[in-house]
Amino acid sequence: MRILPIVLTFMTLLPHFSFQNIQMSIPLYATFSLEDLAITFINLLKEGRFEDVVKLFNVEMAKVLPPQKLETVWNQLISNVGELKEIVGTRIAEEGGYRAIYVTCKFAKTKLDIKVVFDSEAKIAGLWFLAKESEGVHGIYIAALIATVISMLLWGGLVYWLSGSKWIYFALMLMNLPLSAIVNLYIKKPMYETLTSLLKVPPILDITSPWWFLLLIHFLPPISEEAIKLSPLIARRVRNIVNKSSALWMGMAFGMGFGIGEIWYLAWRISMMPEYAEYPFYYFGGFIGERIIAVFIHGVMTAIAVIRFMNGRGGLLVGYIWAVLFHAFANVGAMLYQIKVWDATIAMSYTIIVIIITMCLFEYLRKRELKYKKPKETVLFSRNSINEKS
Amino acid sequence: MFELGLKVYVARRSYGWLFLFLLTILLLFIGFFTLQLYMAIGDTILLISSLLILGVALFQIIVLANLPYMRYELNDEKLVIKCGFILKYVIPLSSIKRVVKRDLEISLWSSFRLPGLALFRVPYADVGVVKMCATSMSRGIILIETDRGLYGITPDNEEQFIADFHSRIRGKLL
Repeated sequence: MRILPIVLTFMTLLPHFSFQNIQMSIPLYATFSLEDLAITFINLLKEGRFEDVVKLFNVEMAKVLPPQKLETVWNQLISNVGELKEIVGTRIAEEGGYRAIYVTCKFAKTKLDIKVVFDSEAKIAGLWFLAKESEGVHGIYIAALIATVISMLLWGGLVYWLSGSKWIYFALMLMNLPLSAIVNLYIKKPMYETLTSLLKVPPILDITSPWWFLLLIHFLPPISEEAIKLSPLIARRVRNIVNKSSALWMGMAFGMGFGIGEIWYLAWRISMMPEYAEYPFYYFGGFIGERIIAVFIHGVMTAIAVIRFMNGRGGLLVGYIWAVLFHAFANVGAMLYQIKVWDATIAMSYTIIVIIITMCLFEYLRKRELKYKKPKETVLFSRNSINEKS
Repeated sequence: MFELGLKVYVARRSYGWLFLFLLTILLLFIGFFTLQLYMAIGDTILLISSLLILGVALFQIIVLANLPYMRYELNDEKLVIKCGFILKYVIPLSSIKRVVKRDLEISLWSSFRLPGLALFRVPYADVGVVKMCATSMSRGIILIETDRGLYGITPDNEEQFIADFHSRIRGKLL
């Protein structure tokens, strides 16, 4: 079972302590009218009568959520989950001495539970939008599992096969699994928030954002992610096993481990989005395909830096810069799509070009690696030796 | 027609056919599923996709039917590498410069190459493009270097094939 709180600001703006002081709980006879009140409240929202809605709020709630703000929040919800179609049902719960009415609503894209909490005076004191509780695992997690298994079989198998059947690269992959979540939650997100507040730029990226800010944000993931992917090299034991024939595979393992971790981090993020709550796993085919490719691309990017590490620490810096530049190049399509300069078809075509370039790069790196590998061959016939003998 | 001095060698056994069979089944499934989608939705892209997929599946069925006829025919003049009617390479013995047995390094580039099977022109990371007619993707390949490029084979009775090859090529040289 899962309950997924919707990322809507106003329910978090109203923490529990705002009605902690209420002394008296709602008497049981009031439940019928509270259900009606909750339904009325939602119908008013649907009709856009926000001034009337606010009249149902208690004083604290009305301060936190005035009509204009309520309108913005409601419209934001509608843009995510579609128009409210109908109210499917209600249920009552007593939570910490307060009456909460869960109103199950069917929107165009998904079902949501709207939790309306009433104070002792039958005024609305709290409001939550929750993804409808459903049985089983969220579809995105099944999709993430499929992407992980295919990536491991395809790319893990490729590394295992081409590196001479060495299991150590799988161990190196495991080291980098948590790094995507770490870099996203503790580096990229705070940096993004700091930059937007320091530079006084709106946090939502679009075509109107300043070009220098877009450029800055475009380079934020490459700079942070490429650095953290190389972090296992801090360990001396790991550094000691880097050599000319292992550098490529170690880099691939670091990058692929990060990429697989990223699958799960993104799945977790998507699971928070109400519009995807009811999607079955096969609706996430695009996610699966994109992530499988991203795992490989991450591997090649990191391999560039680790191979350069063979030239010393200065080499690692040069390799890191190359990896950052390639990462930034690979992200161009996604960025231009995000700010609505390119449509999905052009962005997809660009991704295909990136994939082909990545494959060429991988083959180039492999050829370099093969120079250090002497082929084991048995000469069965040579015209030169026959000629010499005769 | 019977050819004087001709000796025929079969390819060594592998499970390459099984991989090809499974891949064909998968493609048929995807192809027919896409066709069903086209019938339901009517999008031309779906029709083109399904026809392409089914076309590839059909080609694979033809290859599967020809796999049991993978042969290496050696006579005093030439080595003929065949896989039924879908593939035939003729190598004059006089054009052969070197024969080695080695493992090859596979590349990412697409080709007709599966575990236990390699056919047609296959690019390898270490030696470049090899014209393959073998029941191995990369391991234990007999690589024939000629004036016209590289050929890869996997005869079942390898020692006898090499001995026979030696005797014939020496006969031509001496």
